Amino acid sequence: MSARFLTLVQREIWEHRGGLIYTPFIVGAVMIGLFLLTGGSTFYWKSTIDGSGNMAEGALKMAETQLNPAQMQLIGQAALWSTALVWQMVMFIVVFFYCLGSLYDDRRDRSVLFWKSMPVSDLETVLSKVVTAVVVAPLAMLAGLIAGQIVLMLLGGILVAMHGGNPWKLVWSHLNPFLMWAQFAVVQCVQALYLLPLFAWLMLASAFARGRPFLWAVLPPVMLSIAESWLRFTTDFVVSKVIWEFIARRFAAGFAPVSINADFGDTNVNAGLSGTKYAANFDDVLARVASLDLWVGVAIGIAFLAGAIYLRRYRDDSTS
Amino acid sequence: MSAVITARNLSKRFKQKAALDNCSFNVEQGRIVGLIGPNGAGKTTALKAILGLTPYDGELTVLGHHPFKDRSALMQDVSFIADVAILPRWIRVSEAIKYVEGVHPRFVRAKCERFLSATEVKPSMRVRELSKGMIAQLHLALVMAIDARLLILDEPTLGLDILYRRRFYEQLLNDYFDESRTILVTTHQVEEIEHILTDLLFIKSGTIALAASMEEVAERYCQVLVGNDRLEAARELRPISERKLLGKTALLFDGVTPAQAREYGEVHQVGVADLFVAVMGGTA
Repeated sequence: MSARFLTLVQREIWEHRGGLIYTPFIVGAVMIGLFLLTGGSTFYWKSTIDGSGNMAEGALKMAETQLNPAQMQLIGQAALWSTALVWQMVMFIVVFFYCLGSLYDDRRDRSVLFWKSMPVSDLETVLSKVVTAVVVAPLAMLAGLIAGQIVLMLLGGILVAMHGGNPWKLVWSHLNPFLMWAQFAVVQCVQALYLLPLFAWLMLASAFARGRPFLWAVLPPVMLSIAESWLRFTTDFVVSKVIWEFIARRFAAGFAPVSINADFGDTNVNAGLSGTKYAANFDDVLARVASLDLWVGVAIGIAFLAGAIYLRRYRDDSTS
Repeated sequence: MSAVITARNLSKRFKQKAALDNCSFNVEQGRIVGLIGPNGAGKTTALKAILGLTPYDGELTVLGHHPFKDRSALMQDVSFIADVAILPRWIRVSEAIKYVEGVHPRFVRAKCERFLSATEVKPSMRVRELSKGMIAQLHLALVMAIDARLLILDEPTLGLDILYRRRFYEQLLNDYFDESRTILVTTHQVEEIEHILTDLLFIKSGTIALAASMEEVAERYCQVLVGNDRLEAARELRPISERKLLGKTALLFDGVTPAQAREYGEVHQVGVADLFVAVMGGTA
């Protein structure tokens, strides 16, 4: 990447520092705050399960005596993945609205002609915004996630110790954050391709709209459904069904790219793992790479981006 | 001298009417050209075509480029300040400088910082914290630090007070302009810039009404203050405009020599504003 292009990406970060860079760290801070609240409350969880009188301590004893290491690891990875999904959901919403404003905001505040007075092509401009959405935002998310999870893991161990458990034996030895982070990074690469048509569509609406880009992004698929129901006198949608399912899959993946499934079967030490052996269904993500759905989506995304570049060049609404 | 801008039959049509109708003109290197016309005459459309911001019909060459096809390449040699091309409010001064430095190969940071050091604009400030005058100073500093061959100014001082306006043009003339550069400027405050202009380009309902250098204007046009006794005789010379002035009548002549005109009264240089009103006729 040239220094020029990096300057364009830097420009995006300057403008959206709060949304793209600070948000993942704010999410981390909120999660830590919630953990401290619930963690603190565990000291008041009364129980009569066993002699300890505290439910958390009882649960720890049960874990120690009844779960095998494989099951403990499963719980650990599931915990890492499910907290990661909170970051994923928040950043999906942030990037969604970033794309929606990316080619509209500077036309609204009339700074577009300043940007166009620089020797930067419309292609470079649009690409810098795509890269911000699918590379910069996930990288910031990963940084916020790693920082947040390190603190959460430390606090988890400390909480266990305060309940009289051995943090190493009960928590830390079962966690494999590096594996999870590496997997999460791979998931983000697949996400970049899988969500491209959605983000590109939002950018197209952003480049097209003279006002209310959100409406322009939402209306076409809705109008298509209405048009289809009128033309075919039926609510048995064929064309719009394909499109809505395509969109729905993008939203599902945007919010939760992996399914968390910590099915650890029989909770008997001797039975071992009988259920599914993964915490997060990582295979699903890899399967997506081989799917036609993803690559057709990438092609559609590129077409939308070409449209956005064209509109960026020809849309001339800067006249007072 | 080489032409920086060549337009042949330049036209631009919107749905209802033609904003530019077969305009042909040249802008030579080393000139400061005033593009002057009433509102809606096509000034901004012409500038947009020159800057590659809008498609058009006819031939237009700017520094050897086809402006619309080559906008990003053209912008290495062309800078512009327009009252509609405002700096984004969220950006910091230091970020704006870093941005231009990063994307513009001809930007000299030290120059920009030197211009800004004479103002109250500080690097850590955001544009939204600056006054309108300070924003204009920042924009001018950014643009003057670019070694461009053509500078286009579209109402650059709109909304600024007289102190800022005067400083703006003084700085432009003293620290920026030389014979290798060309400036094309539009403004409503013609009187303030007429002493720096070398050429005039009048535009009227999409057509070029007058294209002349200031020397040509001085040779061709003169204004005579005629007393009432000589008025009828002076009218024989077909003045292009008349107006009452302190009990006398100011007549503006096209193609009458000063020697000829002196017979009827006091001869004056024609001001751009008076010439504009005369040439534009009733439309102004």
